[in-house]
Amino acid sequence: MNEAKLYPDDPRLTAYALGELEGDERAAVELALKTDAAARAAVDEIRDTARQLEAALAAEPMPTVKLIAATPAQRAAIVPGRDPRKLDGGPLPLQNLIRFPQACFLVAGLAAACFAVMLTLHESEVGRLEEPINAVKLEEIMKATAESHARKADADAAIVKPSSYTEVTFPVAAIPVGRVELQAKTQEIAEADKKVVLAEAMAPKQNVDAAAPVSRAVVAEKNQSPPQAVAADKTAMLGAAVASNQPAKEETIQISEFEVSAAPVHGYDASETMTGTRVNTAITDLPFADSDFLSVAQNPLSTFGLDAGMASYANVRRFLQAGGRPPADVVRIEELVNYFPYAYAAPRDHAPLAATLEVAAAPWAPTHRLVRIGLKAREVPAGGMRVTVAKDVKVQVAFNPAQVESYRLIGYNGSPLKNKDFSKNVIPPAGDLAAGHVVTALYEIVPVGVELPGGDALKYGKVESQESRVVGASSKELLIVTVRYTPPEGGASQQLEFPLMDHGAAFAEASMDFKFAAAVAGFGMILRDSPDKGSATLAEVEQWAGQGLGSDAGGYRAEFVGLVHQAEKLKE
Amino acid sequence: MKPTSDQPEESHAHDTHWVETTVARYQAPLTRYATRLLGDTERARDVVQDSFARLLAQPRDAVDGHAVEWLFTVCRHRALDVLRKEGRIMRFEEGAVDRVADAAPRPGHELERAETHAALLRLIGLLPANQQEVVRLKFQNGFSYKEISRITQLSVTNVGFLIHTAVARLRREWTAQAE
Repeated sequence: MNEAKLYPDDPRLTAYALGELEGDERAAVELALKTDAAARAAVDEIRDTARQLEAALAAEPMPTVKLIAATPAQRAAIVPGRDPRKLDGGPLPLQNLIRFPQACFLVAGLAAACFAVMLTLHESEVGRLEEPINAVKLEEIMKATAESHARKADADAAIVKPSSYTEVTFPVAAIPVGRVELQAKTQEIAEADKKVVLAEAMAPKQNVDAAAPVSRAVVAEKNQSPPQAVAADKTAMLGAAVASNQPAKEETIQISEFEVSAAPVHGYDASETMTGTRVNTAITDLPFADSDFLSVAQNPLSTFGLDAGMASYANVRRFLQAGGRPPADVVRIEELVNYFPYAYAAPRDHAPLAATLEVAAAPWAPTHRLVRIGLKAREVPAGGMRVTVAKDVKVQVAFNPAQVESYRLIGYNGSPLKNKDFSKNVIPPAGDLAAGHVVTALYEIVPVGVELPGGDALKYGKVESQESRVVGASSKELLIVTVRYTPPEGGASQQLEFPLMDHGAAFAEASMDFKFAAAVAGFGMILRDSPDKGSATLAEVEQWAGQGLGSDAGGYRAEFVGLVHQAEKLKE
Repeated sequence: MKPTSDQPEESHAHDTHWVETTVARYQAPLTRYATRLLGDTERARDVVQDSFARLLAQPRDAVDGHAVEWLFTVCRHRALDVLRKEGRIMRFEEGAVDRVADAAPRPGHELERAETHAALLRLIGLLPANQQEVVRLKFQNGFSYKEISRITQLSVTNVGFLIHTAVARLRREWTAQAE
């Protein structure tokens, strides 16, 4: 393969950058690099990233180790006289094993980890934190947690392993990885006008009963910092309620309740799993309810954000692998769907983005249509820094009232950007689109003539919009996706339109990516126990995912199927 | 067979010293690797002890020149045995060693670096399990593609692809965070 051009998705670039290529392959890449400045820059970037990864991974704390020294009998097994080999791998001098006087920091880092997780959840939800979490509060919490952990660590370090080895124990604080019992102490932190009371929450005991204690977090003063509350459960997931800092509203005083729910929920007996904790986050004024179907007549336009985030998938995975069911509010379907790579066509000509639209029957409700909208930004040749290909991007979906009775955007629950806002002419979210960025949105559509879940018949009329093309009742299109943006170099705003015709495809006729995305959405709905999950079962989710596995580069989809198995096991 | 002159000083010592050095040097990283595979430190310690026991039971010639790779391979094998026996899928703990990354910016290079590392570790933790494993084998334990291929039983091409994908994704997410 002696192509002159090295594209960003060529694994040889990384292999070469890391010194893994040899012989002819190496020579070929070097030749191509000679005339490709962008690719050379990409190689530099890869090496830079590699260095950062090495540094970060080297900083990752080590588990407790007890030095093992072999007995003389075992040493004798080794033929004397040879040199010890030149050992590769990341060398760690002995000193590093006991380098942690900040041990309490590390241990406390676990507590902080959970904050970080919840902060991430919060971030992805509202787009950005209104105010960063106060560093002082976190330090206090970390210290408090460290103290309780140091006590536990001592107990841990005393464990002796039976073996034929002689053991030497180092005084390193134990860093329990995995199930962690956390205690956050109640603290009052006075700071100028601020006053935050952190909840004291105890890790639930092994046998949870319905009368388990409820911990509350109460936020004080208005105008000030976000309230925080901490609840702990055995799988080390903290729930923290973070309210965005809204100025001068009495109503910002939020009370978050953390209760351990032992009631079985639709096949999941929470009392038998580790996690029964439900988290009510008071992030926005809107409850965490699943989207209802919206009638086209009253809500002709819909929108969705470009950045879905990845944290929810990792959190769901963590819960399931720990043997527990993720709380509904941890399951963000749009993040689950967007975690996976899909093959979308790149934009042609000079368009900054392209849309891939597909529609087929919704597998959990075959009389409904499921629409997949994929937006893919233009790639720039290898070596660019994160390049913006379009600024101020706004996405709008307009439905044809002759074909669509109602619709719902799957996921994005609790987002302050409800569809209703759109029809009140509230400005939709606009963001800059980076090169190569991809976002996927799913809509479930109730076609005209199909009865709504509620059984209500809806009237629909002409849909008008000043900003985008009218989807007239006589049009043959199911919907139109309109993307407005400003070119990065400036100039007048531009508009791209992507219509979608529905040819009545059955689910079986859909693409593999479609089937897989549907499986992920179905999985999310089951985990959330969504009223819209229709006839979806985990067994079917697994089937759909199986049909959508494809080549599964990177193993993402296979891992998902594994998670579905885990969830199925929970039911048993 | 006698020591060659270009070996480091410690190589001239007895084999007991080599054994102790190997254990001292690699017990912790091996335990860290095993913990990722198994999900908890207790079981990881058992598997690591077992791996060292097996290493010592080997005739020196069999492992000489690639003892560390051998250790990781055996450790992985043992860990998968444990997982199979328990009916668990292979899994990795992500986020378990995170630090706060979202606190208000604080002065001082040390803290900034720690936060950077924590943020990057968290991003690594969001990758699929198989990508995480090869990323750690490569960038945390320093193995080559070929060695990783032998340890994980994946083809070298597959390893290269996984690392390429992971590095690209981490780069993208990382620069996105920086904005």
